[in-house]
Amino acid sequence: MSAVETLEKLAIDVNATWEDLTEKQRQEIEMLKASAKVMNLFMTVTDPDSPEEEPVDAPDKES
Amino acid sequence: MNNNKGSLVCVGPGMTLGAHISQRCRHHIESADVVFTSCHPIMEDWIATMNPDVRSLQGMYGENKDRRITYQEMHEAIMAEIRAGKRVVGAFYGHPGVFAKVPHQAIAQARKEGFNAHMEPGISAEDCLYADMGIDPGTYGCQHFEASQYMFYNHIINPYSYVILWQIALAGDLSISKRVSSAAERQVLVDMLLEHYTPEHKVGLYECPSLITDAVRMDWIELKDLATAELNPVTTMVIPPGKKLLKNEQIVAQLAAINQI
Repeated sequence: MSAVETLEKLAIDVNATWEDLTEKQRQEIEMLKASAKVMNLFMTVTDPDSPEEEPVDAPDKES
Repeated sequence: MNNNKGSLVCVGPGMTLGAHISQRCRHHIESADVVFTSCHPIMEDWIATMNPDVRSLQGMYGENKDRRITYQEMHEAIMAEIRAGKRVVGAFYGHPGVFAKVPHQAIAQARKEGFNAHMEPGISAEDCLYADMGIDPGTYGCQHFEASQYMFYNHIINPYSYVILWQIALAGDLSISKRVSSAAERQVLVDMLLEHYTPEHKVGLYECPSLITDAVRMDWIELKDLATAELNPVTTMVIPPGKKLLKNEQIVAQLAAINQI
């Protein structure tokens, strides 16, 4: 089982804890975290020179 | 409707890998011809196990690069595959439509060009915050603002309700290209908030973990210390009510008269 799969399993199983993992599994997770790139999180921006478009009365919802 | 079979669904696998993804979200990812992702890199690795063609949009960010350019590049990458007739899924961390421009704009553009496009909800940082901090937005009401938008434009804060400021680490950044703003820029925000709250008013700094093995961050500080507090791109700021709710006697009396209470 890969470290990612171990993380998924740990997230799903509410009865499982970090202590239930083998030493190897814990090390693999730590190595995976250490090697992961930094996440770019910001998905929105406020432009100080251009406010958002006027809100519409009827948002374009697909029927 | 466009006869080209291209389509778009924007989904959200949630905040924590494995814990929040819905069955529909996973099935959309598995069924797609191509999946674009913008998530924690380990979550992207995980999504890559669900479909043979998963492409990260994270590489479009750049040091000191205007994020409006990044979002336009993301948009164009997504639209190119839709126009090529692909069944496209965009997987954006948390909820794809909460404080995320690209999914909404891509859906709008796809529909404009006659393609089927829609969004599926996901678990956002807001949802995790309510659960972890024991906050019910219905108790006193809850306002949400992008921190810089609150600073740049004339929003009206309601100090009787919760106020949540998103992207707090970027508060006051006019360049739209930084990862974090400066203490001086944040002090401007503090000074704005001091019009409504005392310097000692406790505000929460919240971070939801991307991995189940990591801890939730819930730090309470005094508002006056915000400028120098440790803020990360993932930090969300929670401002509890600063004033007690006041009964609107006139309206209550008016309603009582209607029902002759």
